[in-house]
Amino acid sequence: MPVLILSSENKEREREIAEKIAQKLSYTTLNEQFLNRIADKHILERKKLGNAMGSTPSILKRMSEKWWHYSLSCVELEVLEQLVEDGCVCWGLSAHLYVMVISHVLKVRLIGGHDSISQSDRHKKDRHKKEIVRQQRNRERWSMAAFNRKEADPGLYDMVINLDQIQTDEVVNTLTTTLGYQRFKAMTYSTKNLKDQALAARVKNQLLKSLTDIHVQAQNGTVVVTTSSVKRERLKKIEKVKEIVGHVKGVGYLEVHWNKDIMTEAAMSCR
Amino acid sequence: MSKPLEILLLDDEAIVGKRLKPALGKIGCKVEVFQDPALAVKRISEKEFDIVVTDIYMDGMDGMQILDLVHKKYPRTKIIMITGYAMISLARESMEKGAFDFIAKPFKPDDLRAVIAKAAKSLGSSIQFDYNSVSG
Repeated sequence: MPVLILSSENKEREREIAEKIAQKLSYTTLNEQFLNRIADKHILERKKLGNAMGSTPSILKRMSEKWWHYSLSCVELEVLEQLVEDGCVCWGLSAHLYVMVISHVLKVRLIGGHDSISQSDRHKKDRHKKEIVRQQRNRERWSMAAFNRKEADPGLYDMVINLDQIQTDEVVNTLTTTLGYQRFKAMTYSTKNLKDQALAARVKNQLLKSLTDIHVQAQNGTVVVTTSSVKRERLKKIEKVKEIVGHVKGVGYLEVHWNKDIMTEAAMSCR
Repeated sequence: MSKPLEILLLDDEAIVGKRLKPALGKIGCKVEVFQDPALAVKRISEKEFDIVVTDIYMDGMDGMQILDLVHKKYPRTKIIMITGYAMISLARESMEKGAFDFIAKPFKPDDLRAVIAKAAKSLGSSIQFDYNSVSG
């Protein structure tokens, strides 16, 4: 079954549309409530995990960069494993930023739709607009730091819908019809790609428990890990990666690519 | 015993037919292998196959043309596309044009056998194949 991933600036309209589509097509749903299960499974503080999904690491928020990347990898892993299982409507979990080029996944960006907040006072309206712009900037900063992708980039999506111009029911009808197209039917190629992404996420999640600066790709059970460190730590880091990945289910062959951490080396040589 | 599934396999790389013909034979399929798209088209004009497995990028004629041709002439035939240049746009286009499935190369013979078994099922035929034995 196809998968629908929604991303929006307007959380209320997004939820309304997602739930209506799921009901109409009898699809399961995957949304922010799923964070409870992720927090339980990976023994993470639920509130802190919610914060990690919306803000970048900061000392003031007592959220280290290492923990932030690890907690996001837990979300990525659990969402991908869920999507492998069955078709569903997914929103509120930033899946549009890590579920990439899967032909049976329809990714839709919903923009606008803020008109329903009635503002008779002009000052209030201006304040509201400024608040939206501020939120958009924060989301862009977050999505770049987390996945190196701009959330508002239309190239990430199959479709962009302006909620200021199209009514909720029309959006629901359009998307349910689109999901019925043959082109969004799951096939061996797309299912394998999704499984590969889930495997890469599983490996990354295990590595991020103790290591940093990890990038993982997987294809047909072959896993390529790219990492960096100072030159003298090279062998130690590669061995550590091999040891951890050796215990991950589904890995057939492992290749570790190492890059020199130039910044740290330069900083050390200045001491 | 039911009639064996008749499969036409078209790929310009000889090794593909050489490897897959015995693999499909093991699950009781009768396979005709072609490397030249023109000869395959000629054979398709003479006979209706249950399943056509075709590569996409070949000299002379590409797999999308084969897909169009078979789909128009024999709507019942299941067409499986295989390619070493898999892309999301190509995969979606193939499915839109009526392909039964789309597989990226390299793949294991078991991957194709699993798809053939699914195609057989949708044709009302049956093949003994353990889906769970296909990894990844």
